[in-house]
Amino acid sequence: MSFGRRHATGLTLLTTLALAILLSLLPLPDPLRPFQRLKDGSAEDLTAILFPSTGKQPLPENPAVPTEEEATAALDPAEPEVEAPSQPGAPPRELALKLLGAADLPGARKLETLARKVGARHVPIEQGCRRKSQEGYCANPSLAPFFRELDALLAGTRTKPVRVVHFGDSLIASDHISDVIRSRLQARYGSGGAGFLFVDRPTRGSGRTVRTGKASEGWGIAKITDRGGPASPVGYTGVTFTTTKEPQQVEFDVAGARTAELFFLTDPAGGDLQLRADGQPVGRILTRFPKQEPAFARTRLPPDAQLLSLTARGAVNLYGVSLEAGGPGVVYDSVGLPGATAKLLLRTDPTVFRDQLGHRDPSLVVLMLGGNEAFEFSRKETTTAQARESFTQLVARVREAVPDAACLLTSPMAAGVRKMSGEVAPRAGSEEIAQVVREVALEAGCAYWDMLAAAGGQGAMRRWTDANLMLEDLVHPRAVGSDLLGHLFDLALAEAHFGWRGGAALQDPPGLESPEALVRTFQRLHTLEQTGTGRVGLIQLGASHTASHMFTDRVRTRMAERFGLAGRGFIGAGQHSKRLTSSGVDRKLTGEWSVLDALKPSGKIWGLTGIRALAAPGASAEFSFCEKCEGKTRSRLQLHFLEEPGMGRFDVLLDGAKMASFPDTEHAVKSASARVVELEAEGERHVLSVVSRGPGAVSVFGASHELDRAGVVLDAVGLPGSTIFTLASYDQPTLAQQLKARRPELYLLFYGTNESAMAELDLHQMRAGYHQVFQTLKEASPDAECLLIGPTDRMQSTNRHNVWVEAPSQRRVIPALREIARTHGCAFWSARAAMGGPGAIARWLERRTPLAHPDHVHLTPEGYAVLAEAFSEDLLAAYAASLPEGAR
Amino acid sequence: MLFHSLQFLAFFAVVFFGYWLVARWRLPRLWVLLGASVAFYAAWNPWPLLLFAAYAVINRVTSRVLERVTRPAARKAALAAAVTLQLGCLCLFKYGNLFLGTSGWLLRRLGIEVQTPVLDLVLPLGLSFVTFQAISYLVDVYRGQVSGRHSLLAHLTYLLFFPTVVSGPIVRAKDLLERFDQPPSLDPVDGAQGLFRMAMGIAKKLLLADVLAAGLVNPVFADPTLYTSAECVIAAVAYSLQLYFDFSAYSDVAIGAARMFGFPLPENFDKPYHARNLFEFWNRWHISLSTWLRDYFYIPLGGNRGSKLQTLRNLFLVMTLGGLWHGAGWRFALWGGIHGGLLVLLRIWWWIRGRPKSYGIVGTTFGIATTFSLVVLTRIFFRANDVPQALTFFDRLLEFTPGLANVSPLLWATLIGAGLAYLTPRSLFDRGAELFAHAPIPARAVALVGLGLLLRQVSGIEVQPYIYFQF
Repeated sequence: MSFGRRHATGLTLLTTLALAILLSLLPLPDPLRPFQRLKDGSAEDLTAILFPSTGKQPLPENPAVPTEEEATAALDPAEPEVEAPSQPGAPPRELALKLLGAADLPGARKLETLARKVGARHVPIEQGCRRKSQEGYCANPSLAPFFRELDALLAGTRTKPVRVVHFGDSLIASDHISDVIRSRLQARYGSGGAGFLFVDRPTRGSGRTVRTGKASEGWGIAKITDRGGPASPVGYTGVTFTTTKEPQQVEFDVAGARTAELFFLTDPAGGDLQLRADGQPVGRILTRFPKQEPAFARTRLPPDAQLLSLTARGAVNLYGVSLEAGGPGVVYDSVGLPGATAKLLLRTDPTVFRDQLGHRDPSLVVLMLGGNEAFEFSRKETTTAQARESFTQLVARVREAVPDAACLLTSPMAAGVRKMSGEVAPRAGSEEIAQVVREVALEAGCAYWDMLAAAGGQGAMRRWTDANLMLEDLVHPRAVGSDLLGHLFDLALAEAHFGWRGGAALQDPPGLESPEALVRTFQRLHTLEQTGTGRVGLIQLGASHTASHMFTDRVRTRMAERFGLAGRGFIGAGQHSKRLTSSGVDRKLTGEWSVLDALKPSGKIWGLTGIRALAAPGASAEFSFCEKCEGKTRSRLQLHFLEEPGMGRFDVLLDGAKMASFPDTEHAVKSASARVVELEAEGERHVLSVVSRGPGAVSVFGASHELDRAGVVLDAVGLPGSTIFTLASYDQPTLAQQLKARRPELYLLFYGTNESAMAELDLHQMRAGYHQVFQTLKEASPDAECLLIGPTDRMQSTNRHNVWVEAPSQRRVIPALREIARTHGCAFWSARAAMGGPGAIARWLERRTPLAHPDHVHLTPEGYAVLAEAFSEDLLAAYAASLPEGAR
Repeated sequence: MLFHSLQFLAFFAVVFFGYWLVARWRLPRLWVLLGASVAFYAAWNPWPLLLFAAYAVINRVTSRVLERVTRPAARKAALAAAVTLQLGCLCLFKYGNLFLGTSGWLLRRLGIEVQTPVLDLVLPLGLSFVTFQAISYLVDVYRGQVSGRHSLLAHLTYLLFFPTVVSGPIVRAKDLLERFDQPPSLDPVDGAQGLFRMAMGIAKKLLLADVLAAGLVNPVFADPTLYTSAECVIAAVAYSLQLYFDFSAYSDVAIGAARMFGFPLPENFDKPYHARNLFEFWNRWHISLSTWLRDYFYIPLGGNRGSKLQTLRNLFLVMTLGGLWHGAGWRFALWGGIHGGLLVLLRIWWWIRGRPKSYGIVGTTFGIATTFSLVVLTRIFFRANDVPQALTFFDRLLEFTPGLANVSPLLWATLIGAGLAYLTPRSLFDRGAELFAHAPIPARAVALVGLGLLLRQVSGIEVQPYIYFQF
């Protein structure tokens, strides 16, 4: 056998390689050259083949993906390739995020991380001009009507809901994008109800049912996307649901709704609609009228109604039902039809469209269309001129129906196509249609938001697909992708709103204000962190939010994670409390005790927690600290008690061993005053006991425990139901004496929630109360700094149909506290703003895991944890910002 | 490193020359094969190699024990221990989370609140294949069908042999391990035909399987509610074609590559959609798995030697567990169980009516159509993300909505091309291989480069702008 024949396979391989290289070097068209860069003297192709990189090469158009830490930290504005400049007057993005409230902030931060990962951008809304001034300036920007009404909601002057109608195609039909926007707007401005709901899904069996009723199967469906147009006149919703002979039913979940408004069409041969709320008849509507025209019927729902059932008999043409809460707040309708285009929306009956949309009376109309136009354009089935014509007519129709409403158009999102290799490439058409939409919007005085740019531009599809944010069709985002688009849109809207208000108009901004007031505390914390020596003492004085310990426990944990913990601090005397066990503390009273508190005045001398526990002879009190500790660190303990003439004798025991007896013989007790006894002992776990020996009563305030190691100590001294007036009513010298013993470096004052409920609250008196308290605090520790925590959101029932309204003085208390903080050189943190502003307590109550108590005052353990996390984050962020550049 | 990537072709060429350079010496050629296999696998993730090394050690030790010990009970115990260990690894890595999750779900249904942990384990690529291959070797040694005196090096090379490690075929020891000791030879025709087969495999994968997947199957299965019933039918059929062209393409490359190293491997497919009944189908589809299940599971269970009831039980059990072998999800077991149930029914039918000796044209047509339909429909469970999604797919199918707007002309062309490629008689394919093998070397090179250029060119074509239009 010849050499060539023997080695034919090897020679075939070599010849193939040689031929491939030869062809690559010849001056041939690119499709005929296997290694196209070889001709340029580059061996990259061959190198890449022989030595494939083990790491995944980043796509050239991918921006760098930040680490989790980078992404969750404060967003860096100095990233021009990702961050578009904010609008003038717009708040920093961090502030816009915080306006969402502490409960939604973590979710929003995750979406921010995702946005960076896929190269999505914050693109501002471009506003057109509704009316120009004589000087040529824009006197009425596009979104002004909407923003004015949002401001009225914030100011509490609007009694009706602010409605938004969001038109769209299949991206909106799934209600993921609009769901995010709705929940965000309702979190910021309050909820006015679910809004308009279809009878059934426009394409039966397809998509989600979150914006529809639960309908029987016999409803006929006519919609603008039907081939040849709808069989019945349809209005602004683009679809109508009809019955003919057989009665049909539909049920709506109406929990929380107070009114249901039916949108239907009258007809000379019309049937009737029977309405039942939880099975009880609430009305009957005849649709038989001499003329065929759009009509509306509003029904009040019984309080606490859960289910609205409609039975249609005869020929009924029903568009849907609007469910509202009957008060102020945002109502966000999503009107999305799969396959919708501007041209198809023009198939709606002009009269019905005008009457229905006019009746709906939205403050803002959003048109999120263009995706299907871009598809048609890519297939040469439409032109930009035709698309422009359709959009212009549609905008005109909207403006005619609701001339006073703001309008906002968005570009389509990018779409992708898959090559035969499986590679994803951008689909043509989106940019061209986006340009058309922008021009139409601005010419008509509408606003424009570039969703294409926000998603990351034409090339975004590869990144979105890689991140599994798109369905395989490369047109429809998955739920998370849609949430991201909703997030970007919402933030753009929020920034536009706050930009329009000029930023300063924000009455109750979230975040830590005047952090410079904490400079010494931050320096001490820095020293603690750097050197691992020292102690930083914090005392939080307040009402039930403090007394519950749940807020302070979480803040203590967060502080301890960074700076170490030097003990649990002060505990008021009292009965056993489960709330203390989580921090390793127990207490109990044995024998005959009376626990008095400062809310029912009986003398003026109170312990730090506003109580005084009176022991009869033979009674004993026990404080167990650090119950699960095994360490050997030396402990320092304090016992706070009242020393007064005629008091009984008592023994102080530490771990069962008698340490002292009081009153001691060294000095005679001439007047009542607080006294603090200090004890030291080896080890961390200790039980401090007080045993009353008689014959007089013994008054115990509480005890504290600290460890002889570096760290923070946070005392939570709260009295449920108390106010700053309560604290000011204490005997101030004894208060100062006790505070001084606790050696605080920072005072946290968390009052205001109970003041908010005082309809006749006198702010002058409140200021005077704070003034007096600050003097005491100053006397106790002249170097200590202060931080005022504004009240949580509080609502109260009007007792009419269980309607909850804002606590009467809340709007006055918060600015007053802010001003008091400023006057006294304190930092300020608004708990209500952190929760999400007015009405947040109701929204926290409605969450799947309720964050608020049904009393609309207190929070659940989870709620306190969320609030404490938000507070700790802001405090630690301010601390980090105070550090020198290299130390952050 | 995918078989149809340029990296693999370059890697393959380097290994090919290295191997044949030292082929006359046993140890060097085994080291080249092992080194290449380790490098090939490590390009994905090197850590599972430790597990496979453990498999090799278990096999080596157990096979020695089986060779030396003659007491039946001790031999059986040694075999059982080794097989349990290897199946245990498979269960842990592949099914650990499935079993934990299911147990937790069941306990919660019984009112017992438990937090089931999630195992953070990476499923090693090819673990199912390697495990079955390792077990087949042990059982073959136990049965005395192959020698147990192979070195650790040979064991490792057998398990990690790079053409088959990821997706089979599941090669028996007699087809590979036993051949390691014989000096290999490469007949020029064999070499050329191996090359031809690899090229055809890559073409099938890129031109047919991937286009069907990207153009229709993936989008429709991602959200069937966006498509008409007619489109769902086409997608279901396309999926069966995609699966065949994808898997058989892989087998083509594996068999072709092994052949170029001098190892003729058994075929894995034999025109499966020509099957007139489901028994025939399983004799033609993924043959190396079907025969493995028959030889190492069905027969040890008793096969059809027991009562009729036992035969039916064995059939059902083998198919259900065989289904579960395909993936860690109960839908795979459901899919296998449905096939098992259908085979049981067919077997009963044959017992009652007798197995047909010949089918005739009508019977053949009816049999092929019925079998293909059953295969296509049951695969909806196999392809869907979960059982509810599969049921949604069926719901969509049963709505009988017309319209094929989402099937572009290119996809129609690909479907027709796939049908024609499938129907091409094997003799024609063999004739093509013969022509290639006897063509002058430059002509072969031109053909290969031309095919490469064609594949690159068509891979730039847009498959389908998959947008949903329901009007």
